[in-house]
Amino acid sequence: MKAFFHLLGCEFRLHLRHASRNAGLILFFLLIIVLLPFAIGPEPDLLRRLAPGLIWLAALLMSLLALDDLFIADARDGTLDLMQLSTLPLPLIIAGKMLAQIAIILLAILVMLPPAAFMLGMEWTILPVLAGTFILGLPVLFLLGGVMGAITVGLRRHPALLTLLLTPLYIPALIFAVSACDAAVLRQSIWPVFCLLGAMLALLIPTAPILIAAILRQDQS
Amino acid sequence: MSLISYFANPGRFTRLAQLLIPWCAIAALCAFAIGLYLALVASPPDYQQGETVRIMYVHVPAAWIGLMLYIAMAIAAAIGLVARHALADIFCVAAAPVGASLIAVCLITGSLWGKPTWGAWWVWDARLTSVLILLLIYLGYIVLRHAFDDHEKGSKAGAIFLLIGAVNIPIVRFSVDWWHTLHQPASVLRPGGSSLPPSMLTPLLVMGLAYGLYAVCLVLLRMRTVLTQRKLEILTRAAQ
Amino acid sequence: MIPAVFALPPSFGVKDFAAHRGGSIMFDGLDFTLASGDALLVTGVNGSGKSSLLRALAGLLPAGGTAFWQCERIGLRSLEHRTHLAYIGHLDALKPELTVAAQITYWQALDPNLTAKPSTTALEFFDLNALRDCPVRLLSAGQKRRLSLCRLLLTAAPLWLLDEPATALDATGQQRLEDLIAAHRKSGGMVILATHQALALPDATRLDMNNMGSAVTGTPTLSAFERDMMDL
Repeated sequence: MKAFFHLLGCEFRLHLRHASRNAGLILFFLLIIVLLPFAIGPEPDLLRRLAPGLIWLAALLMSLLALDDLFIADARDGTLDLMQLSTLPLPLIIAGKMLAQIAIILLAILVMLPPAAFMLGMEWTILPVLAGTFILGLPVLFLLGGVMGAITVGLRRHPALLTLLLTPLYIPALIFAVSACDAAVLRQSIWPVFCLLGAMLALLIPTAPILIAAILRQDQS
Repeated sequence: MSLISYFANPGRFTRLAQLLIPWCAIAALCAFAIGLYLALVASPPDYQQGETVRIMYVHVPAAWIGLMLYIAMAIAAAIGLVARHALADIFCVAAAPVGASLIAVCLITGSLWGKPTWGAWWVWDARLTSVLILLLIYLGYIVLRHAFDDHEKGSKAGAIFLLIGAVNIPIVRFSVDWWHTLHQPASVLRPGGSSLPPSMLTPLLVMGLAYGLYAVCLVLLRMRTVLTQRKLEILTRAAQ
Repeated sequence: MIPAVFALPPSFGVKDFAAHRGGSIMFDGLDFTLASGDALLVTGVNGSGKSSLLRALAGLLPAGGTAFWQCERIGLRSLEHRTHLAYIGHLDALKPELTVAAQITYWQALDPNLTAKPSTTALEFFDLNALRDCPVRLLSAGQKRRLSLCRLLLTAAPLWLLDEPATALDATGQQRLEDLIAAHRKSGGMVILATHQALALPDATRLDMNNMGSAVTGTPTLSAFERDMMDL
């Protein structure tokens, strides 16, 4: 257990040193938010109604970008070999890595939510609900993305392969997240949808690291 | 089980396939002939939709076979991962485009049917969305397999992807029951028996059989082709 | 986790060791045993399977056959084997943004096996102490290789698997490496070294990979499935 937290701390420090990459991802998120009113038209009512979905779409596209090289760097520089030969269980190492990545991106998105909501004129009352959907939904996106990233780690860089593989799996999460926000706008109960999102997350948290470890172990040459 | 492992040898399987393909093709043609006659001529028009209900006989069996093919691929993927059956992976690679095109037929004919009945070419209800997701999973699988040069690694990666995507299958099947959808609820396979009269059920089942035989014929043909391609690769590599 | 102290001097061996890649056989029927203090020198042209052999011995590549520690069968993917093992591959496993000291800490966080000895001694041995706070991306190729080899000084594992360890090393570095290997063997460790450079390895058994698999013989060796395919 102590080893896990030590590893987590090291991963955080690694991310902080690599701040330019994470900053680039957040900038990408904001740029999409900025571009969307130009694409849809500046009509305030339209933007207000669409705002939760648009913010989620921007976050989803940013996640696809972030996930594209999740394990590639480690595979390319040989750290993956070290992880496999470690006396710590590989799922534990993977869990630590992913937790660090998810935590940093989640924190950044939660900080960026008020400005994004402001730019799209979203109602302030549903901001907590939107934040809640991100807290439950973003880890789902990253855990699924981690599995697909592990599957494609040894491949030549194919332009949209990861996007194509992940889109069918992301659609349910996206539907649930946005319907939670719609329910909030209509003053209906958000708990059924939150439970669904929570169930997806609860299913993925124990299984994804083990699955990723099994896939990475097989993919060596 | 031993029968399956007997035909794990590619040579034996190809000889079996060569035997089966002509018969399947003839049977499929007959079934299509009978089915289309029953569907387009002999069956009654719907009291609400009139003649447009006849699209059902093309749309529904395509959905059935497309879905069943995915389930067969998922089972083959599991067998390939666990029991390392030599032809399980070949089956998945061969069946994927067939299944994808059947689902595409289902979506297109469904869209053509939806316009006169619902007034819309497409709606984002649970059934249509989950079938679209199924098509995307099929396409994703095809692209994934093409991205791998090493067939062994590709088969493992593809198998895992198929098994994760199999979560979608119950959603497709039960989406009309779990959510209020525009798409009509199940009328054939439901507790209490089918809600269709025999004059409509028979053409539907015959068309289902026809599509099934057609799919079997195509998949066998494609498996033979894939095996020949692989043999060519081995020979090329050995000659270098 | 400190590896268990061996009651008897360690010995490692394999029998009928075989591996294949992409359907063709890389090596087959390999047998050897290493006793305490032994070294195995693996030579061969590029592509003859030296790296694959080392990776298979480390458990990173699936392989057939059996492996033995102290004459007892062991799985090459098991925790026990990994505890007795130190593997230095082609790649340096370095993160460009970390400083030298932070890199060592990161390695130690990833693998508790690397906490058996203090890092300052390791850095001093390879003359990297002065560069403790230098980011890895600013190091030269030789310094990066020396940093990567520091892992050998952090672990107490008896078996070392070294794949081309002397690439990019200058004469001093090579000498240090040879001294390190000699000291390890003297204290009872075992070394399996794959290289096509001239490294001094006295009394080492030689294993030439050129005659394994299909590299030079010309006749291709096919897997069982491929032989089946020929019947089509």
